[in-house]
Amino acid sequence: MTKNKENLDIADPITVEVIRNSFSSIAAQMNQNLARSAYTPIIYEMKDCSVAIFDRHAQLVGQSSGLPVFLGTLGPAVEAVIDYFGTADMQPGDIYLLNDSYIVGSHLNDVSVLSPIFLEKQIIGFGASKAHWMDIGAKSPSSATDSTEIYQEGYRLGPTRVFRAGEPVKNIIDFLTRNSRLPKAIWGDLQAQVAACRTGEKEMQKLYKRFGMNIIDSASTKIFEQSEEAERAAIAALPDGTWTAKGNLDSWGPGGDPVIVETKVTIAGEEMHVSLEGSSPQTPGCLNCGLQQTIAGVRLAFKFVIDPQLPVTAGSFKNLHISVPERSVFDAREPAACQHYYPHIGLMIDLFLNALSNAAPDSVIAGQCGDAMNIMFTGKHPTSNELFVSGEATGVGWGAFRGGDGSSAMVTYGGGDLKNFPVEVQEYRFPLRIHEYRLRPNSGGKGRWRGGLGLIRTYEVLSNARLSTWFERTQTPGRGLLGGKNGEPGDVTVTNKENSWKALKCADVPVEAGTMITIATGGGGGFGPAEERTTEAIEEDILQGYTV
Amino acid sequence: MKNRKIEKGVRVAIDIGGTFTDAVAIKPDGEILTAKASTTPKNLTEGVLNAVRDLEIEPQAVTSFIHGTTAGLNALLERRGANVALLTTKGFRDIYEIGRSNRPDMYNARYKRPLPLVQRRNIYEIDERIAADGSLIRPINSAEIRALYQQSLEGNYDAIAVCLLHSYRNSSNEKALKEILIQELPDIHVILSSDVAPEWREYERTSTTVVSAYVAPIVEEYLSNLEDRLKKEGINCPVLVMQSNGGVVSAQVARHLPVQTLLSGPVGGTTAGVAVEKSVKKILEEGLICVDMGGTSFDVSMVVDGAAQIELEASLDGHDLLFPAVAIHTVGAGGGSVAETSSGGLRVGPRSAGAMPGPACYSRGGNEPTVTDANLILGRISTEARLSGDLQLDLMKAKDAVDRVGQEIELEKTALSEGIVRIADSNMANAIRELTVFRGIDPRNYALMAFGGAGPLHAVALAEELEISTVIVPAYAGVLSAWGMLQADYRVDRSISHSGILGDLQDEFIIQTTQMLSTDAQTTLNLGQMPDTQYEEHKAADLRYLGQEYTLTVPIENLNNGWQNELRKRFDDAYMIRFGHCNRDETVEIVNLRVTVTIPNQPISHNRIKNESASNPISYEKSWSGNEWVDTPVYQRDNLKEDDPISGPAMILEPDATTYIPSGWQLQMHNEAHLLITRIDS
Repeated sequence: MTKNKENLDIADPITVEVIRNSFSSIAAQMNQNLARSAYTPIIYEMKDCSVAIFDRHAQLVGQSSGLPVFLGTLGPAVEAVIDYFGTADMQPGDIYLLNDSYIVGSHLNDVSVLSPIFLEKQIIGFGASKAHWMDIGAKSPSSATDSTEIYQEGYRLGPTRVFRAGEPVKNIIDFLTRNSRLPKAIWGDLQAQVAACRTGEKEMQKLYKRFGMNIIDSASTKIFEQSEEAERAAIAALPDGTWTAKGNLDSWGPGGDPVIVETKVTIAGEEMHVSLEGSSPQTPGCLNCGLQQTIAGVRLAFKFVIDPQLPVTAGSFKNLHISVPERSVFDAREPAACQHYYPHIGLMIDLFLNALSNAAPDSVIAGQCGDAMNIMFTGKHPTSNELFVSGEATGVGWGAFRGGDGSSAMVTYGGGDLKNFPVEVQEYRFPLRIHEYRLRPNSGGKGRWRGGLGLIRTYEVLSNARLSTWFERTQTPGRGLLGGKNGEPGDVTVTNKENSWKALKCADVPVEAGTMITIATGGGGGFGPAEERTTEAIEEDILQGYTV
Repeated sequence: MKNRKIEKGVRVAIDIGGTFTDAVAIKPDGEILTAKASTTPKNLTEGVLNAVRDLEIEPQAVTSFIHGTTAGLNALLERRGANVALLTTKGFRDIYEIGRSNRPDMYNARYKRPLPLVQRRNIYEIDERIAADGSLIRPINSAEIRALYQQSLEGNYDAIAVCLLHSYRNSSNEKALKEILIQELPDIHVILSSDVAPEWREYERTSTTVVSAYVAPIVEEYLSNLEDRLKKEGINCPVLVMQSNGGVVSAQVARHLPVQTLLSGPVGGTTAGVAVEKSVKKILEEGLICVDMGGTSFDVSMVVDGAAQIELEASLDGHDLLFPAVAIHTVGAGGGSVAETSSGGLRVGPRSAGAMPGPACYSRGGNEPTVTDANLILGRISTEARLSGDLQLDLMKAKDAVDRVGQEIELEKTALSEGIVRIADSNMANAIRELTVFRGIDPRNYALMAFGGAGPLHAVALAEELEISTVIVPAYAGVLSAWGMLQADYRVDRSISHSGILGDLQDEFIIQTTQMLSTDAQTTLNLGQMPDTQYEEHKAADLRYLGQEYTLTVPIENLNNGWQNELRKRFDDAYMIRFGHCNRDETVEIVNLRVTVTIPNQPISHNRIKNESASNPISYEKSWSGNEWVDTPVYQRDNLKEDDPISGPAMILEPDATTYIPSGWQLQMHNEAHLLITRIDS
């Protein structure tokens, strides 16, 4: 037949495709199991999670993300566990976890859980998931937004064995739950992550039994080659050159200095180089992240432009080179706090797209205010007398692009399928009343195509509580592109009986019953000169009340 | 004919498809008649009447007329619905447009939400408020409503959707609002969220209410017109409508719950699965996985414990809906799925050549190889086969198309064709795995029921992938949905939000509440003057561990002493099956109470003319089987004899599909005319 059949250990193109689809499907099955069985809403409702499977060399073969900003961050977790324990000491049924920001990237709340997958006493791969744990014993409930050292942010775990041969390691589980304000949630979510690992194990075993190690190795090599080839071709199609975009965050925390982000994108042939040289050093607050999170962020930016539908594998991003200054906000080292790992990443993605607009104006979109716009209330629930934590990320206006207005009130780049908090659920659970939840007229940047609108949400606290907010990008709002105007920046106003004040960033501020808090998130940038917007589009905006 | 005594008791079912409108009738003596007419998209009723006439039955003999209507679904998909105004609580005008803020297509920077059915300018705020505990903060101000109707509503809309905050808990403001509106605007539909979907989460409830209002006038007009026309034809029995939940109700009820008719057509196949499951129960381990494979898509649904699997939420064309519907999972894989190379690899689907240009072998100008072309090359579709009635397939065109791709990746056309089919099969199997794993179901314990133009062709290969040992190609495969509808039960679902801790619930209250729901459901069923019958009542509760959000629906067997403990145990067990772990020490919370009232339909007793002569092939054709070309017998399905097993490889032809049986599998004709294909134990 074909020359491929001469060697039984080489996978033919058909088998390669069957195996490629099976890897993706196994990751999807793991993710479904995790999302459905998780204990806390932040995982099952907001999808603050990610799963991946790896071959025995810790090479990514399939992944499925709830949050796109977790793209490819599980690889370093698997490598760290292998480095620490060695594969020789691993047994079927083992489960390992870690959350050290300097190893795996994001904040300590994001806990990576993984298991070696065995077939006939041999490791064939690893299944892994990452999910946001609600409370890991930080200095304040849920998370500390005013931390200055990582030691204040909860327990920090290097590679840790939590299950041995299928049995929980009791003293470790005890440690994890004893040091959390929400022990049931910790145990519930850990079990959900373990269940996801087990699904991955079962399906990988089936696949390896069916095809054998050699065929799968051969197929994996081909799969990696395909990913690489597609991405090289996509970059080669763009013009060569170097472009830089620069911006800054308002501050690294309440009262802090601005944080500078500089993104230089170079295209040379089929390679892309992204340099973040010139960005601020690691901050004294908690706005920092480990290098792995930065790499994941740059990859996400790349993915927005280059072949978005192609599954990510170990062959992806081979032509994407990233340089990050050491001890910068993008490569924080001990003892930097890392709670807010995303704002500078969001800005970097915005700047990446801005820089790349020079090479591929039709493939990018105008800017957004690129941050999650977090608002959190904590306190004692007046009826149950138990601690409550209501935290949420809110939507923003997205940038316009050639051919379309930006989307309104939608989660930021990093958010993906993250869902908002239903008013009815929030009011039922917490002593809060929402007075309005609406689009914010006029907030989108003007242009031939208009930026998307931000939103407005007004809360009344019904009993004494504490407020934390994290709103960004008033100095570098959603930027217009090719003559389009910037979107409006965000705003937070707190009003009580006596007075009214701005609270774009605040941590654990007491607010008494009856206080009203109004948040307004930023709009997206416009695309093209506003003079070129059609009369019909302008009239339509007025008719619908998008502009008033 | 004129003087013949008319024998009453003929049951008729009609299903409207994209191309054909199918009719099935069963006479009291068990004889089954079928007919097909072209679908008439501009006025669906015409096609329905043509199909009924083709049955050649006496109109007066018809005592039951079941209809799967696509009027609502088409209006939604084609955006031809009513002009709707939406009324919301003050401050929440944009709940509908904001949705859940998420971006499911997460790597697409230009993702846009589907266009809303109600534009922002048609959304009005009402100054009223209910608190989360159901207490009234601000009642409806009738002066405000009158002003609104005078200034904005009057004369401008066909339907008004109302969704106020926390109305799932206290519907008094919604009801008061409706009262005022129907005084002022008696002729238009006013749809309340507390009627349509009395469950929390304001966006999903709003979306459901809006969709309901959007299709209400269309469904109403369609059903009224259909009833009138049927009367003129002499068919005077009440019209029954298939609902998304797999049961039927009278047309009168369907008008009140138009959103429940949305999946009226598509669920017919699963309803047929329920009927097939009953007739083959003896040979089943657990249940049926139903797969419907056509030209562009592949639909999967399940029959478990004799009932179609229901989900409480659905998403249709990007519209989120809270209603109980048969769970149908759609994957982009079908006969028209295109095979192409990408970065040195081979991809099959999800892109489809559709009906135009269609597979290369259709000779309609398509030159890309598809799954159908590959099957033709492999000899798994008989050259005798005529698709869609009279389409002759062109083998040469199929070979040319496959060869072109084969050259790119250095594969000869037979190997490539086999590969294309294998990839398509494996993609479909993966979709089934994701669906079953997600529900904690092991597909190996299920039988596979395959239908649709391409289903019977791939069924056995899919079964092999999934380690399933029984495949069923049902009788009347050409008119399967209509045949299934004939056997659907009458069904009405009712639910109410009720929060409390399991173990502490007051028995008296639960008994009263479920009684109330049950009475309400029975009243609804009776709206169409149902014949005297036995009701069956099923109670269930949506439960979750305290602090969780998603719930599992667990049946309540009875409310006898200790029922709460019993229910608790069943919840833990169900949770274990679904999620692989459970928390027997954790507090369990109840969220909703559900009551389903059904009236079981009379079972069909088939009266099939049996073939006494042995099954003989009509011809032999070469097919590719186990790495060689094998002479494969081709049979006409109509000529098969019971108890006369046929071993693979073999092909069975029927007008709209070919069943392919590879070696290692054996066909047995079931006494109700289903094809049963089982693995031969080696």
